[in-house]
Amino acid sequence: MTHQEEGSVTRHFAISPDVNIRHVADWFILNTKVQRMTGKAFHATAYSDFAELHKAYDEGRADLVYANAADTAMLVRDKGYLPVAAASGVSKEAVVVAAADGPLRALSDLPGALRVASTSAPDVERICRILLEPANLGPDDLTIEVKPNPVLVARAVLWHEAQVGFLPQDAYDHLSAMVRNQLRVLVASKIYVVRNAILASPAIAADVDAIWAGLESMNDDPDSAELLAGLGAPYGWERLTPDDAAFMIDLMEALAQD
Amino acid sequence: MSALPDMRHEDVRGEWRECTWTYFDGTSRRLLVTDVETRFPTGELIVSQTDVDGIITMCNEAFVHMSGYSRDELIGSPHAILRHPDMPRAAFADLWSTVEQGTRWSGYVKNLRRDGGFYWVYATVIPKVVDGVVVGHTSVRREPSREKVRQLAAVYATMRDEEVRA
Repeated sequence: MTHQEEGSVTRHFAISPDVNIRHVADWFILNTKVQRMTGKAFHATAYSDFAELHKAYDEGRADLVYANAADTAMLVRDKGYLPVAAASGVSKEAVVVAAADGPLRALSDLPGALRVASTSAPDVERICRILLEPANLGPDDLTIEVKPNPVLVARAVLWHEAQVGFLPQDAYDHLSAMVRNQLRVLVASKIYVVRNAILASPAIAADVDAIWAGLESMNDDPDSAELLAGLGAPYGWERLTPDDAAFMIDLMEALAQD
Repeated sequence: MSALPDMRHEDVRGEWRECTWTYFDGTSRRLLVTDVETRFPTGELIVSQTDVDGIITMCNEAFVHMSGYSRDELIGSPHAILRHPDMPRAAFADLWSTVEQGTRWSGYVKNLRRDGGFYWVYATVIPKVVDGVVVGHTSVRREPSREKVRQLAAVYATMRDEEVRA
């Protein structure tokens, strides 16, 4: 492939449903920055559900992605993706909620079988399943209905269509005060080690150093502070090493239920 | 592994009983054991990594808090520093034979704290494989179901009695 042909290839920046939907425009801004960092064209696509995102992985339409921990493990282990960066000092946490006007006030109130509303975020589901283990609830005790977004998870709980809901902590925090007041947090994770990561496909391996240099330069740029906050990296980016990625793979495997 | 130092009376909280524990390599340690339980902090995980010899190379804050040891004391120590005498040897034999085959192991474990107390965990141990070779292990412990703890405490007591008699 000549240099000119290589330059004409469009690479794909897959914006995961993991990102805060209110800040999705910031990810398109980051995509513009990535094109400046690499001098190459990247086409950004925002995915609203994980099935579509996983299809993009399978079809080679995700050269750069901000992936949750479960997807990070899968992409690095099975598809040879390269770790690039993670948000400094930011971890992924999750909450299990019930309706405040319902009978469930604590984990010990949970019955033997449970109807659950959840988004399709695989890391959040994995964390929440573990949070329910002390109540002696295993995989066979949960019937999970997937909702398109956290607001609909909350609504399913409030309308008693589901007994509990699984939510990312940040999504719960961004629900309106009125909705949060009608929910009760039964248990919240404080894990600190589950993180989202920016990953590069093997097809753009040659661009990883340039992308990292560009991300690192944002850390010291006062003009980037607002953008970093919108991207969920208010303390900047840190380099994600192969060892970090290997640890994430082990962690996700360890958190899978038997 | 190098012999672990004996537990000291001044570190122990509560009434203790004393026993000597002999490890797989023939080294032994005086243990001071109490009936004081520290409950697993809800929502948290204990995470650590060891090298292939079981020496702790990384641990998180929850591990420090629950074990009662400082991070400096834990790093470089064998994971067996947490071995509680109520745990049957067969459980750990099963753990090691499983992970040495490159397979994940999960089970309920009663751990010994620095102060002689104990805490129960549901532990998962994953072999850390680099270029096809096991170079260490990642261990993740989470809050166990109390019902399972009650069941396993009885099972382990029976197994320990049989091991002592044998």
